[in-house]
Amino acid sequence: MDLQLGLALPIHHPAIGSEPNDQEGLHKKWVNSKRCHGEAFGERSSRKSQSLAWSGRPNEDDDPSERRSKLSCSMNKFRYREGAEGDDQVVGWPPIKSWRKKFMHGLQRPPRRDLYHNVRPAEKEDGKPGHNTFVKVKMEGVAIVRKIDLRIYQSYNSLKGALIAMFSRYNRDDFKDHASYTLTYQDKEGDWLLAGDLPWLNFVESVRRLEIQRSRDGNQIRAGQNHTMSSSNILRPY
Amino acid sequence: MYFCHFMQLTDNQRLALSSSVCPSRSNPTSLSLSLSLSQPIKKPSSILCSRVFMAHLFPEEVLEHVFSFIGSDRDRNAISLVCKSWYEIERWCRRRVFVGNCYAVSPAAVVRRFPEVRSVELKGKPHFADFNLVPEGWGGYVSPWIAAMARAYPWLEEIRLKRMVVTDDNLELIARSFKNFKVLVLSFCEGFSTGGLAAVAANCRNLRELDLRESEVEDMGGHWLSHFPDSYTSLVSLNISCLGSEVSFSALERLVGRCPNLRSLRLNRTVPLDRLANLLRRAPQLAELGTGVYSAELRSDDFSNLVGALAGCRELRSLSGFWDVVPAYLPAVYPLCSGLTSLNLSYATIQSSELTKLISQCHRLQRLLVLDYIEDSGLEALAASCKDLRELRVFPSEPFNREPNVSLTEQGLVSVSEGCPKLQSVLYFCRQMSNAALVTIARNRPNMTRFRLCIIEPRCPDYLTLEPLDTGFGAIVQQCKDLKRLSLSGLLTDRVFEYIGTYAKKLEMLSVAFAGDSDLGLHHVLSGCDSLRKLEIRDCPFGDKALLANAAKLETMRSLWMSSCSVSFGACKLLGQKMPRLNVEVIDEEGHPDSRPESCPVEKLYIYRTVAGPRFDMPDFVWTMDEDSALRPS
Repeated sequence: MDLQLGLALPIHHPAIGSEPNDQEGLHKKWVNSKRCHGEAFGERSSRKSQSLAWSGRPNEDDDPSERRSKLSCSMNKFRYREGAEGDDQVVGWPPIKSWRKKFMHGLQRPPRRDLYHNVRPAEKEDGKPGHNTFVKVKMEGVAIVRKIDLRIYQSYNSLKGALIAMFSRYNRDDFKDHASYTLTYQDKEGDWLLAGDLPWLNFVESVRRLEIQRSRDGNQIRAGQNHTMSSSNILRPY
Repeated sequence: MYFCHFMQLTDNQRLALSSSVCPSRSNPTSLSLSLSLSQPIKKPSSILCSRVFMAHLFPEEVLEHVFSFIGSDRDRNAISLVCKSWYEIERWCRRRVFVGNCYAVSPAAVVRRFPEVRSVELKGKPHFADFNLVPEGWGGYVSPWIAAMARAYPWLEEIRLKRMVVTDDNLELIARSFKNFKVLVLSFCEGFSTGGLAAVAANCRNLRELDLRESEVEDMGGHWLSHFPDSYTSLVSLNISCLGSEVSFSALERLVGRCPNLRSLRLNRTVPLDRLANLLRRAPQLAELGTGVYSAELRSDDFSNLVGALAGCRELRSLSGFWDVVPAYLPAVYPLCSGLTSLNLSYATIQSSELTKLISQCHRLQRLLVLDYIEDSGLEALAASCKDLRELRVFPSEPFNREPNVSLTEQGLVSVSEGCPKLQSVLYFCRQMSNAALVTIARNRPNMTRFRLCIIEPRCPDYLTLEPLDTGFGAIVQQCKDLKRLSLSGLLTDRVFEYIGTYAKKLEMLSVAFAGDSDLGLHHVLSGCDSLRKLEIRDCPFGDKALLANAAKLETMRSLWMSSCSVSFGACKLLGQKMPRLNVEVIDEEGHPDSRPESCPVEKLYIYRTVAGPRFDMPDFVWTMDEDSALRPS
């Protein structure tokens, strides 16, 4: 099959599938019209004889597989840079300005640089950035994961109410009965726990992820081990 | 006849001159425009001829006066191509110079040709620098420009820089050199600190505008603001939204209070909400406001104070900021909504319902920047309420997540294209798109001039049919005859480039990523897009043949960026050798490309036309392919 690039992004083959006729025609015409210039580009070995075909068109007769493998070598090498912006992220994609990225990820300031001679060494960082209170929340059976700011809630009740309201549009179920939903969270250590045991502010401090589930069977939720399994299935780490 | 003769004469000059100063290509029609200021031309050729003859009878002063009414760079360039005397007159009365690439012409050449310039705008790094594709230390230093201007233009009033490296020394030189300095705009610049800003504040008594946009400023604390002298009152526009540290609040309050003409104030995130009211009461004339952080423990009287202060700013047309916004405080801006034309909520992490509530009150809105939290439902509300909307940008809140975190699809954009007849500029990040949607958008909005679509997953096909999105983007270029800027994404074959080459005749800037299948794609664009000035490509299988066959086209463009494509080092050498007016720069952080076979693709390639020759400030990972390098044995 195709040569796959690192991210398992499929390379589209024009030859495969149904190419419309006019495209084919154009392609042929294009290739034919430029045969005469082919040699100018074909022979890289004799550089002396090379010249630019100013009015010519590129030819298309080199081996596509060779081209692909060249391509893949260049792409694999440079596309991924360790620790650039996540595990398997493409550098510079999606095209978000770095400045915006910093702001959106809660950093208070752009990173300091000492590249320029007249910039004195950075002073001590003032004002700690503060605990990030944005957490992801997932509702069982809803495909969309939300991110919420915990600071705007004052209690477990207001949080739960808001979450149920937020997710209710994605689900036809009856959301009226708050008691039939159970809120669980992942704490700093990565354990999944039932929300409600800690005082609210301590909870805000330690919560990393949230999940809200319909407690069809209350026992299942309370069975700690089982639950850890099920939620780690649902909340795949990115 | 004589007129034709002029035109022939100038064809040769046109290339040289237009590439030397204003990289925009001269438009022959602009000549007639500039000559027809008093009345429309009915029979262009005959009247034009007689006018050109007449023009020779005018004293220089008269022509100079006439030229002074002509603002557009293109028209000024066209004038200077008419004849030697017009060239001379024009160069002495040119007050504004725009250089789209700081390496395309030397500062000395600009200063020599235009001795009386008051306003200079320069651009440095390639656009892809915004996305970390240009290595740190690449260049774009403004120093030689400031040095030349400091000597030549003591009466310089305005400097606007984009993507350039500016040092504190440069800022100090600006502050010392120009007696009547008024405008300093630094967009996406870096390399300076608040220390340099303090020098500007202390010395530029007539400063009207200080705009730091999204620059990266080394923060030495907020005291630089107190360097504005107490007698200083001329500020019209201040944008410090990019600064990280707390500004000296009392200095800011005093400054705002004593500048009666202040119209635009964009604060940074550290300005607390409870201080905003005080500031606003001192500047009720504001037309543009960027708030600081929009959350606080407000007592109810604080809140009503804020509401009162905001309501007092009756001329507010533009709002931005809203960092860390607490939805409960948003109603404070509701009374302003009916007057707003511009709203930047792209840092406001609030949910669709609150956004909708806000936006649906802004009936005059022309420009909206927002996060994808707005969702399809919010965009539908936007389409229903904001009939004057011209520009929409929707940014992703979680760009690095695979899974969608919001319900924002192609439908939102379709709704806006249906509901907002004036929409002409779009930047839209989403996770799914279909050809059908793009065709609908194109039909709905043939007046679109800027269309940038980013489907976050590379090479994502039409999610309904699993086909490439060629047809959809093809419809965009076919329907939108005035399209100037286009960014492609999603699964695309060479076919889309055929459409672009065939239809996008006015396209000036094209961004391509993860698209195409062969050289044919690039060839279509380079051979077909007559107005193309900037082309940026990443991760596409475009190689030597398309590039070399269209080498001459590159001289008509400002620049071409290609990274992770299949252009070989050998082709770069050949291009550099054959095209002396192009700077062909290979960027490779892994070492000299000579150390690999010539057929090996180069990592990054930046090509631009220039009349200045190779640049002198290349770092050790940039190699320019000039004649020497091409002849050197490898």
